[in-house]
Amino acid sequence: MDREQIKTELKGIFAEVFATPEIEITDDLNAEKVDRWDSLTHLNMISEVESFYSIKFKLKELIGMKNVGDMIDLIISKKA
Amino acid sequence: MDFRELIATNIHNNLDALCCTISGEPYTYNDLNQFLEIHCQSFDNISNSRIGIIIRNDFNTYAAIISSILNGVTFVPINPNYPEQRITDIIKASEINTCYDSFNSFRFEDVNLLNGNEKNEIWRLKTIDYSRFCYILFTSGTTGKPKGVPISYSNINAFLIGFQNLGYNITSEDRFLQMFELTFDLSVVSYIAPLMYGASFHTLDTSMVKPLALYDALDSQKITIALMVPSAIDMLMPYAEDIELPHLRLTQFCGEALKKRQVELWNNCIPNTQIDNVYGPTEATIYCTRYTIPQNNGILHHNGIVCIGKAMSETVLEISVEGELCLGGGQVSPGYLHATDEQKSKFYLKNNIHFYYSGDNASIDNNLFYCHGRIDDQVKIQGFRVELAELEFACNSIFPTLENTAIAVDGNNGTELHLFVKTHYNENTQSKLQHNIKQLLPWYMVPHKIHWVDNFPLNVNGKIDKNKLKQQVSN
Repeated sequence: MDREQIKTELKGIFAEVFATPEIEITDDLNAEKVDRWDSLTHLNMISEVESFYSIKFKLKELIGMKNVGDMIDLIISKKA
Repeated sequence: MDFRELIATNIHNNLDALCCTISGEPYTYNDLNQFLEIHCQSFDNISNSRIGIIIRNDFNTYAAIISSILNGVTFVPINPNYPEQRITDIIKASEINTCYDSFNSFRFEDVNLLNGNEKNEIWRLKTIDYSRFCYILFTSGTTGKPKGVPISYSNINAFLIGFQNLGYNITSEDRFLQMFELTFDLSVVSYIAPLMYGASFHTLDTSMVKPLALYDALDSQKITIALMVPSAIDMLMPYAEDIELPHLRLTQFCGEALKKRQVELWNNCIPNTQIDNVYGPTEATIYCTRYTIPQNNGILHHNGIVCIGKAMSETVLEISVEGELCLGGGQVSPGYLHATDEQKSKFYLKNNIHFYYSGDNASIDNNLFYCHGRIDDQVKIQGFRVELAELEFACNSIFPTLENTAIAVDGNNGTELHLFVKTHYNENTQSKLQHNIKQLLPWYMVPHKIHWVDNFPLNVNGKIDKNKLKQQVSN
């Protein structure tokens, strides 16, 4: 899978979950950089991403995920 | 038993032992000892023996609280993210003129910041009168001002005697979870109890979102004893199959009604470990009843709400003629700070025992107690007490001419607050209300949604029909 394509797809999900249509998806994007990214919206975002790609993250993978770049790596490895 | 003596002895005898990890960073009893050596004199010099502690997620904040206790001072935890008006109300009501801030950045008129000494001094446990307040916590009040609940040294000592009598066989090897904000009294047992046994406590990594940070602490810190709010189970449940916590031997749930469904889920995740439901309001010091979930037989419950069991050793329980649960004994607070007559009437003396009306409806069956919800409009949001009247009062102070009413409903992520305002929707009104509410109330009291209505539905008595509003929201 193409990272750029995933970023475009994530933009759609993030824009909706965090109610920020203009959000820019970069590898180092994390909760500190988005106002409405908190515990609840984080879990909503995760479950949206899981259903979009028909994948399931493991709890330890979620704990290790420090930014969007880590998440893209995981999506790629799960879809491979 | 004197809990302060036990803690002081453990500090002196276990200097090299692990005391806590804060966001993953380890600290020994010697680190605590050094903080005490540097600060003991300054604590001694506080004129009215009261200190505001600005809560930061760092070791020095915990060390300051523990030093306050060992020096016999009264501490008031202050969340610096609270709205300014609330911080002002808390400082004025508790007559604080000294604060400790590990960031050294808190500024407030006529309040000095506590500093350490250049020179380390040998500290000694200070002998004090146990009727003195150990801490004052502020909870939601119906008058629009936060309500101060003082807990005396004697109250907390009674709680810890009760705790010891719960038979948990705690040793210095135990590792306690500390997942609570420090303005919440469940944090007090999470950091004080381990120190009585020379054990350690472990906080969550605040750089992670809550459920992940919780699981990460339970797992990587090898927690053996965890006190949690029941909603923590709901947060972890989407990942139930990944949960593996071989070190956890005891889970206690407190702060909200525990549901049978939640216990069953948790029991499946960590089979063959002890699960206790503990119950009690801030006014009766942390918790004062306990029910142990049986391993084989069915879980006792009433309408799906798990039994709260029996009183702990220093507490007596009775149910008033109206069906309200009353808590009596050594754990019960002396009474609210600057109490109004209505607030004073929440406490009474019977056969020389000091009692508190809990506000919870209850019943007793086979010597075991069951809670059936509130007699008033108090609700819990993620374990925090919220008086709906306080939200209504805040809305009224912003728009005095607009009638409003607040309700709480069960949402997807726990209890949600909804505010109904009687006027036409207008973007300016909405943003002014949203903005100003955040200036007046802590985050957990901010409504999930504001509804604009032409009229309120009324019941047969001509009062606002809150049940109809709840149905509207649920649909």
